[in-house]
Amino acid sequence: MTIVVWRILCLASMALFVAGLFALLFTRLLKNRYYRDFCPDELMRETETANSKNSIYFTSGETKKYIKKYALCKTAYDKYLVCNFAKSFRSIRYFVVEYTKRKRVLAVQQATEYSTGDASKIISLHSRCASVNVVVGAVDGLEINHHVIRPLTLTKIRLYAFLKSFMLFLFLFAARHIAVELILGSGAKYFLADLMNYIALGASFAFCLLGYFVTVGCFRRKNMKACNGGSLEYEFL
Amino acid sequence: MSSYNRVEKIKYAKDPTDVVSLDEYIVFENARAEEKCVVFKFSNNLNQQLYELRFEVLQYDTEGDLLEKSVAIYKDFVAAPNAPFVPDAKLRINFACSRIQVRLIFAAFDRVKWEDGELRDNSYRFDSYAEAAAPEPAKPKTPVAQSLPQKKEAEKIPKSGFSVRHVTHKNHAAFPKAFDIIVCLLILAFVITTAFLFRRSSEKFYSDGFDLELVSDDTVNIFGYDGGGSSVTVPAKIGDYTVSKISAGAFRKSGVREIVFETEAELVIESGAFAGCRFLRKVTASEECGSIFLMEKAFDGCTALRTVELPTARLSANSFYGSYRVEELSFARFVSLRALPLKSVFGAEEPMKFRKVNVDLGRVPYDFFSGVEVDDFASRNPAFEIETAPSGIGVV
Repeated sequence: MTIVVWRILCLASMALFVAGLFALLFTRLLKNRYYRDFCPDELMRETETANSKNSIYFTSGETKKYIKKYALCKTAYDKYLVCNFAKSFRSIRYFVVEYTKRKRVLAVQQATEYSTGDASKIISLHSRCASVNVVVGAVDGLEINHHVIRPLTLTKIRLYAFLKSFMLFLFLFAARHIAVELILGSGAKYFLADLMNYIALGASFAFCLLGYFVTVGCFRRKNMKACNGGSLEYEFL
Repeated sequence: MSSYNRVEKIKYAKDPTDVVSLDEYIVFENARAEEKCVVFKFSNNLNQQLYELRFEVLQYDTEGDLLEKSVAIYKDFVAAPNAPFVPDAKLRINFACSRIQVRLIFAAFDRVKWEDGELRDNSYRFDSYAEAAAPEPAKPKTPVAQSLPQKKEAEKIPKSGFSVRHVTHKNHAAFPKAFDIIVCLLILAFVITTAFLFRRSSEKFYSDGFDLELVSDDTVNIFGYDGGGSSVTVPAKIGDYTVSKISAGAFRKSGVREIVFETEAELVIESGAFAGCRFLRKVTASEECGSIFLMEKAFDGCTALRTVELPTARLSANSFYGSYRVEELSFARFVSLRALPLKSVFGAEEPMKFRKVNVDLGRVPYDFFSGVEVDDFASRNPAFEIETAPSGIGVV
C-alpha cells in the first residue's frame, strides 16, 4: 500500500471514530431503563406557607395497597418526602424515584423500615427533584417489586462492547499513523511497509477483540443477579 | 436469568379442598451447569393470612423412580387471604428430575394451623402455664466477652429501624476502561519505540521524489519514485550520494513520459525497473554519462517508447522487451561480450522498423540486422564489421 492509501485509511478511521463517538453519545446504550415510566400521581392537597410548599399525593398502582399517600415538602433549601402507610408493617421496603421537571429520573432511593407506624421517616430528596413516584418493593417479607431499574440487556451490552472496541481500533489505527508520520516524516512510508507496522496493527486488532470480550464479561458479571434473585422477575400470568 | 436456557411453566392439578394449593411451578434449567430449579406459585385458599408453610417435594425421573425427597420450610412471610403468593426463593432439584410431586405438611394461618389434614385452633390458647413450667435453673455467670457475640447476632436482625440508600447506579465497568487505556498505551508505546528504532536502523530514505537505499557510505540505489513530474532526471548525485543502481520496480507503472540520465558513475538498471511505463516516450543520456547497464526487461512493456538515446548504454537481451514502437535507438554495446541480433533486444517476433540506429559496436554477428529494417544506421566504431554468415553472405 502506498502512503496515500495509508493516509486515506487514517482519515477514514478518524472520521469513523468521531461518528462512533457521536453514535455512542446519542444512542446512550448504557442509560438506565426502568420497569415503569413516570406516573403522575393524583394531587390531594397543596398548602403553601411562608417558606415552604407541601403537596400531598395519592400513590398509584399496586403501591396504593400499602402506601396510601405521600407528602412532598419543598422549602427554599431542602426537599423532603414522607409516606403514609395503609397500616403498620413489620417490614416494608419501597423505592422513591425522583424526577426532574422534565420527568427525567434524577435518583432512585430504596427505603427500608421495620415496625412502622402510619407514617414513614423523613426522606431527603435531591434539590432538583420536582416530583416523585413511590414504588413498593417488599412488604412483610412478600416481594412485590425486586427493583425499579432494569438490568441491561445482553444485546445492548454486546452492541456497546462492539462499538467501543471498534472505536478503540480506529483510534489506535489513526494514532499509530499520526505517530509514525510525526516521528519518521518522509520515511514513514518505509515503516508503513515494514513488518513492525503490521505487527502493531495485528496487536491492535487482537487487543480490541479481547477488549470486546472483557467488556461483555464485566458488564454481564456486574449485571448478573444473585442466583436466587432472578426468579422474582418472572411474572406469573 | 440469562444463564437458564430452558424455562418451563407447569400448571398443577388444583384441589379446591386444600387450604394451600400449588397452582403452578416453573422449572428453570441450565443445561450447561446441569442445574435445575423450581419456583412455586401457591394459593392461600383460606380467608386468613398465611404465615408459615411446610411442604414435601418428591422428585421423580423419567421412568417414574423416586430420585429425592425433600421438605421445604417457608416462613416469616405474610400471604394475603384467598390470594396467590410466590415464595421468594427457588428450590434446587436434581438435574435428572423430570416430574415432581408436592405435598403440604404444615401451614400456619392467622388463627388456625393445618397439619396432616387437620385444622387446629391457633388463637386464644396458651401452650403452657407458669405453674407447669419447671423453675429455671440459676444462670451461670458468663463472662461479658462470651455474651457479646450473641448480642451482635441479635443486632444483625433489625426489628425496628429505618434505612435509605441510593440505588441509582451508572452502568460503567471500571476494568474494561482500565484495560482500554492500558492497551492504548501499550500499542502507542510499541509504535513509537519501533518507529524510533526504525529511523536509526533503516537505510532507506526519501529525497527529491526518489526512494533511496543506502548501499555504501557514498552510494545509493533508487528503489522508488513518486515525484509526480512527467519528465524525470536521474542525477549523478542525490545529496552527497552517487546513484549506482535503479532497483527492480523503482519506476514500475509510473506515469513518467521522459527520463534523462545524468549519471557520471556506472549505473545498473535492474530487470523491471521501468516495467509497464505505458506513457514513457523518450529515454536519453548524454555522451558524457557513465556506463549504463540495462538488465533483461529493464524497460519491459513500455509501449509508447519511441526514442532511446543512451550512447553509453550496454544492453542485454530483452532489455526493451515488448517496447516495439522504438524508432530511434542509440547505445554503445551489449552487456555480453558477444553482440546480439538487434531484434533480440526487443524480443520481437514480427519485423521491426527503425528510423535511426547508432551504435558503438565493432564486430557484429551476421544476423545482427535480421528481422529489422533500419533507415539510417551509423556506428561510432570505425572497426564496425558484420560477421560472415555460415553460407558466406552477411545479412544486411
